[in-house]
Amino acid sequence: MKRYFLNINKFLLRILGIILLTIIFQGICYSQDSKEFQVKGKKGVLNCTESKSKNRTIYSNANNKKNLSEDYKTDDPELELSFLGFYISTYDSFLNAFRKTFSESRIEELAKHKEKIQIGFSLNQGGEHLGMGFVLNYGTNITPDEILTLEENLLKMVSFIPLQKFEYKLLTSYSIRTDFDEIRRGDITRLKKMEANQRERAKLFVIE
Amino acid sequence: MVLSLLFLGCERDNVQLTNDECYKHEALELFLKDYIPREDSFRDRIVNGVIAKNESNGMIYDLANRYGQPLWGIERTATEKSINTLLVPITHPNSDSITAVMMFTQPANSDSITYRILDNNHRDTLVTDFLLYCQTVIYGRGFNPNRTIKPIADTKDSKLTITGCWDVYTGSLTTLTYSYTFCTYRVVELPTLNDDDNGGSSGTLPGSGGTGSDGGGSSGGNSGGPNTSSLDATAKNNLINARISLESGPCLSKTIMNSTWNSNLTIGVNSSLGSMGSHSPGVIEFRSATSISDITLLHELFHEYQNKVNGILPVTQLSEFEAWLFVDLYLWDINDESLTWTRGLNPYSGTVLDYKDWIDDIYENGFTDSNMANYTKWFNKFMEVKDSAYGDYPVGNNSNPGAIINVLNVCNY
Repeated sequence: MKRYFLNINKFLLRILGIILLTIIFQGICYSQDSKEFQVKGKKGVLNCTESKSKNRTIYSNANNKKNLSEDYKTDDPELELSFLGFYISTYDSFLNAFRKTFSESRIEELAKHKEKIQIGFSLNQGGEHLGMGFVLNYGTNITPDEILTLEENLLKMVSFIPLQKFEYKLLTSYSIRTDFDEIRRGDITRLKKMEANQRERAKLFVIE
Repeated sequence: MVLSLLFLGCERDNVQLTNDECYKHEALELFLKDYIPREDSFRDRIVNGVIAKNESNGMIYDLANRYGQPLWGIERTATEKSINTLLVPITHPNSDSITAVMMFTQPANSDSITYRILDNNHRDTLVTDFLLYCQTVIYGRGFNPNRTIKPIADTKDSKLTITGCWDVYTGSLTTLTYSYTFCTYRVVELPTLNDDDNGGSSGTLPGSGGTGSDGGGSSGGNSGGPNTSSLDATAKNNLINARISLESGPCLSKTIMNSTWNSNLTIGVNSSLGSMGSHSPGVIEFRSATSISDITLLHELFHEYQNKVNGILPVTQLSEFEAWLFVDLYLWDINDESLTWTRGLNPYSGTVLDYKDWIDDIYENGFTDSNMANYTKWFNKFMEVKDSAYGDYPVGNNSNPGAIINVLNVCNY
């Protein structure tokens, strides 16, 4: 009877051990889900954060200024609410920056891979570029050099026009999300709608 | 000079009248020529009111002289939002063009009847369009000569732009894809129901009791809407456009507008405010005219809405977070990715991306067990960003976004 009891105990211990190992293994996997590293391209260095579970890889130029918010502190809790935002110089300029960076066949290829891209621009109240980052699929086919070239072309070709002359210092942003199928078709629905909204807003409000 | 052409002789019942009396008498006859009493009590009250008013100011003579004969037989009455309205076209005798339309309105629970004369020289295109409509309905054709468009002096202080937009989709019926957004604009005059600048073309009629004063009428002509009497023209323009944006926006903003706009709010500008906007029960203030937009208005109105849902409670960190979250859901709904309190954060940081995912989840699925599990996490992030602003507020006990849930239920999100 005693021997039998001990046998059960050993069996239980083994199960507990397996459960414990699984938990530890999962913990390791989870902590490694988000990975940060740097990649070098011909035109510069990119900081990279990738997450498999969130299916995303974030690239940003290592030269981007850090802690921007320190320069734009405000005591007004609702300052950003009264900022009407931006519209971009032209809708086509955004598409053209892609077409200058990627050949037609490359855009076709990336569309087939269902590549998505989201671009975040850090801007100040006057529309000045302060930083840019790219959110791509996890395990993306887009190379670091392509990202650096796209960044270069966007900086050259896309400008942000504030809807109002805002008299306060403000750190703000503008985001565009699309995929390469939309770029191939030249039809970025969400951007078109967002731009149409902003142009409406510019006409509606007296902002001087 | 309609009357002088029409009435050459003036002898009544063997009584010789002076020219002046004669014209007034003929004007009254012309005014009543087409009128049959006791068919419509509202119309009877109006006619009696006009006659009473005529005793003191001779308005019927002016009316007949300038515009001609009212066509009482083809009037139109309407009752909307408890306001009775009577529209009566006026025409030159023996002519096939209307010259003006008399509009009489009487709000519910009021004896006072307001009248306006809408003529073709009015600067408001809505008015002249309406006259063209009446002309076409009555005579089957437009005006001759056609209405011309003349440049008008800048009247920015009293104009507003009404925008209507359509998303245009192209392709076959089964594979329609968004193509572009098309918008049209109408510039119209702000309503000034009791304006005095048209030389007797508007005013109030005595009430049925016969003792009403001429000074009646609601200031601002905005019955039910907020009291905005302290706003200047720029602030009013921005407020009206913000209101139009929210009312013509998605269900989220419409619901807030419907619930709060007509609840005796006072909206003003206070340049000494420490923030761009502020709310206390029944009162919304903005720091300046230029800080009034759809976004700021929606944020402050949402606080009013919270009071309606939860009762009037002290402002807390949680109630502020709920208001900011609601505005972010609105922005997400109108395809604007520039969400509010995260704007100053790195737009490609994991925090901002995760927050957008969370907003999208709520937008698509409403509040679920899974996204509610992260409510406190995002509240804490919000307070990290807004600590200097709201750090001194009490945290609050209610972490349930009841007001947002209410709106989402109304909108079936």
